Amino acid sequence: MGGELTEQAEVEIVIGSRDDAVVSDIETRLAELEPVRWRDARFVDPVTILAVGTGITKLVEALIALKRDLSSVPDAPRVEVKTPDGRSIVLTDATPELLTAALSETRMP
Amino acid sequence: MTRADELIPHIEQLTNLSLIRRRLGDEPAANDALNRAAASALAYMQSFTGEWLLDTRSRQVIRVFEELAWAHANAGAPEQALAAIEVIRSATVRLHTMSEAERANATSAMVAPLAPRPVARVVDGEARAYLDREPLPPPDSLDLPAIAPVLERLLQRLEAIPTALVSLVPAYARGLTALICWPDGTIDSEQWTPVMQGVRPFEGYDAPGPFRERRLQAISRSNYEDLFAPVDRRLRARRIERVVLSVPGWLGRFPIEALFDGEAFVGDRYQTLYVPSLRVGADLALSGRAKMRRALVVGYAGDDLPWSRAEQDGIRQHLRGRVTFLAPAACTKRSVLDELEGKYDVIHFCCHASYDDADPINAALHLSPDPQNDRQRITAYELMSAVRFARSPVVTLSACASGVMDLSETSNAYGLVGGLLRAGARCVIGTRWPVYDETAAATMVAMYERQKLTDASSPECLYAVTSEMRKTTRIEDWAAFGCVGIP
Repeated sequence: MGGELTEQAEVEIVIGSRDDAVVSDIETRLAELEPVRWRDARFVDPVTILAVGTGITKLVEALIALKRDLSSVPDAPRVEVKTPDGRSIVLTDATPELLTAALSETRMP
Repeated sequence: MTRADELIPHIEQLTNLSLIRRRLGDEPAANDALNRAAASALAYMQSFTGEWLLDTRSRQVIRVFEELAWAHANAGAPEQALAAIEVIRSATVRLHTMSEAERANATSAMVAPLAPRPVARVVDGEARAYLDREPLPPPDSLDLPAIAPVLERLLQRLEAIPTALVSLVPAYARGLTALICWPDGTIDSEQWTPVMQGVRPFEGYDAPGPFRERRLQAISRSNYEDLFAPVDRRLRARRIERVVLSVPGWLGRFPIEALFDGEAFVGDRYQTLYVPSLRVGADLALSGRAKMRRALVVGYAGDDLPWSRAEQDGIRQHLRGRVTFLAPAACTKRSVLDELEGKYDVIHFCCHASYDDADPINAALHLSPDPQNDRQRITAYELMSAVRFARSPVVTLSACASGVMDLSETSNAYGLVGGLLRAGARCVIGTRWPVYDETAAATMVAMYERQKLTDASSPECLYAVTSEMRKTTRIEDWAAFGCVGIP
């Protein structure tokens, strides 16, 4: 990546599981981002949402590290990164460039 | 092509002619062409032979009636404007909600435009043969059924609280028309052109998560002037306390009561009830005032909604002595569909729900965590086709997005709400988006507690509870539940 991006970004990390062990494992891997587990909705899809807000560079590095870690975990849940303006990136498809662009351009309505 | 289909080019031609005449300033000729287009459109609708065909045909011709409503309102004739839009809005719901007496007398002007001819049901597959032998009515005379008796019936039913009936009608390239019926039966109109530069009120706000509230806030603040301010000013001047609102499907996704004018929410001023159309509202009003004699609470067979148990227990406690609890183990599709036909005035579901914009009649209640488990899944279609409620109950769906309906301009209400109204519910309380588990439980228990203490109807109690919640909670919490129907 190029220069350090200190601009702040917020994302929702949507984990395709309600299994506490699975979610806790991901929370631990993202601990330096201090993720906040969001309230459970009566949503038919079994998902857990984490809220994260930090600098873009730190966020991108942590998400790419999570992608690498989960690639070696059998039955790893689907993880999706959502930006405030509604963009969505599945973690397995994420690259540093893609994430940086999405997080830099994102706007809240 | 059937004989009815041959009317479509005729309708389009007359509508275009009307637009051109109006642009040229020839109002009488424009109105004449538009009336003839509407007469043909009505004939086209009348030749339906089943609900799905009526739905399709209504969607095809609704723009004619929206234009006609605009033209009448613009000419200072709001009653005719209301008659025009009401003849088509939620016509498919009326097939189910009109009284047996009206159905039997379906040749009367009141019902004829919405009743298949002959009244005996004909399946869609027989449509062609039926249409070939049934002559179409003359397309040049427009005879809209009177709307005044409908409004009178609905206002009489709601007279305890100063209530206005409001119908919002969009018309292509013309903006919005609001037709407002006051408690004394008089009708006014307001017309304005929304700027619509803010966040559109029907897209992308429903997913749960930390960003949802911000999206809702943005919609709430940027759409008040566009969608409701002109009506609001009139309602405030007349000291209205309750609004019965009929809007096209796409406009009903975001709760009007959550629009914010900079000082207050619309919900701070009025209790809001939604109806697919005022005619459907008048049909529902025939049931009389809701009484709470017997309730049914349907259990949930899963442990992934930790607050659902507290909700069920709280409700059973508040309704003690008057409630039948269908235990989770007993909650199968068949057992629930059978039980729904029992003598209940209030029915409460606490479970998961799903909605599919591409196929709203497959919206479903899920009585277990697995959405694919059909044995414990009840779809909107199953409700409307297999259930006939005995006592016109108020049905509450404490589940995700359970109040979401089809976006169609015709307000066909397809979704769980439409399924339940067609099955004979007087009123359905559902959610506009995936509601948080804890919020749902707290709201529902408080609503039934209030019902126990005041004996008011569930929607009235919900309004009181959410009014309190507005002081301390977010839009995504207090505006999650909405009410469709007349309690």
